[in-house]
Amino acid sequence: MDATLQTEIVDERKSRLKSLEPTGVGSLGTLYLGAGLSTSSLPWDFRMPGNFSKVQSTFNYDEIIAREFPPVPASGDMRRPLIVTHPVAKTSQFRNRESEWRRTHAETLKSLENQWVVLEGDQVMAHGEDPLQVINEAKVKGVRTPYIFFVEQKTEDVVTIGL
Amino acid sequence: MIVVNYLHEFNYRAFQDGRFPVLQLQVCDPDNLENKIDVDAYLDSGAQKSLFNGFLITSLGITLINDKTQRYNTTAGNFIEAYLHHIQLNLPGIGAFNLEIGFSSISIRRNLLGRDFFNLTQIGFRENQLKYYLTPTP
Repeated sequence: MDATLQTEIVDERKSRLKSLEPTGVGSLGTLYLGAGLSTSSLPWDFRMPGNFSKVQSTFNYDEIIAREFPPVPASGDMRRPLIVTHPVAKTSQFRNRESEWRRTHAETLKSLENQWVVLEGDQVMAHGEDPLQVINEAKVKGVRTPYIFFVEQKTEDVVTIGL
Repeated sequence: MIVVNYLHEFNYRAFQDGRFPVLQLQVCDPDNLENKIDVDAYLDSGAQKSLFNGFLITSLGITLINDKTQRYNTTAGNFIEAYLHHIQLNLPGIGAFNLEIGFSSISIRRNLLGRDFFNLTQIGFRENQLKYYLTPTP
């Protein structure tokens, strides 16, 4: 969870607190929140008119949040927040051409269902029910490293699992 | 706070029956790295050990049957018998991994990369974006 998102969540929780406190200070409370989000140990003196200190002394939002939204007890296996970054992530290009062909040629693949297929670029080099025979046929046609896959039958209302 | 950096990004592959976290890689004969075949392999964090179709090892000119067998327990409760072979999995542009994996004694339709492969890499899934990320070091 990044810091911005965390701030927004805290912000949202704090904004809900306005309805929990005595009336007449909501706007002041909001003003206080604007500064209070950045740190929990702000000095009381905001160099503002004296009545603010009185208002602030009755608004300890950290205490209110703790009271109204008690923390959920941490279980033993609870994971810590995780940040995933990929500033220089590279996209794999390996067999991309074949993958794109498979994505865009559903009709052709339908005619090859339940068969093994060797695909090179956008060319079906060999196909059949015996994968070893399909590989040999592709090699005879000059494919040095065959890319072979099984064309599964597309069936409605069926989901796929590993094994 | 844990920060994980990934070097490579992959889109889930679109097949006729949906999109899947599939890694396309080369199964190589470790004694002759030019002897190889390209396949799809499903990332399966629920599999303790990788399982590939037995014909792949045969296609490399290696005898499938040896004295190192491994049974794989399926979700249906039955078992698939496999033979363990040391091979090299090559991910072009990413890296190569030496693993002892099972090659099935019966024909299977999907090759599975299990936790033995996950143990050598860092993999993160972003299912909602249909992407996964990989760094070739654990």
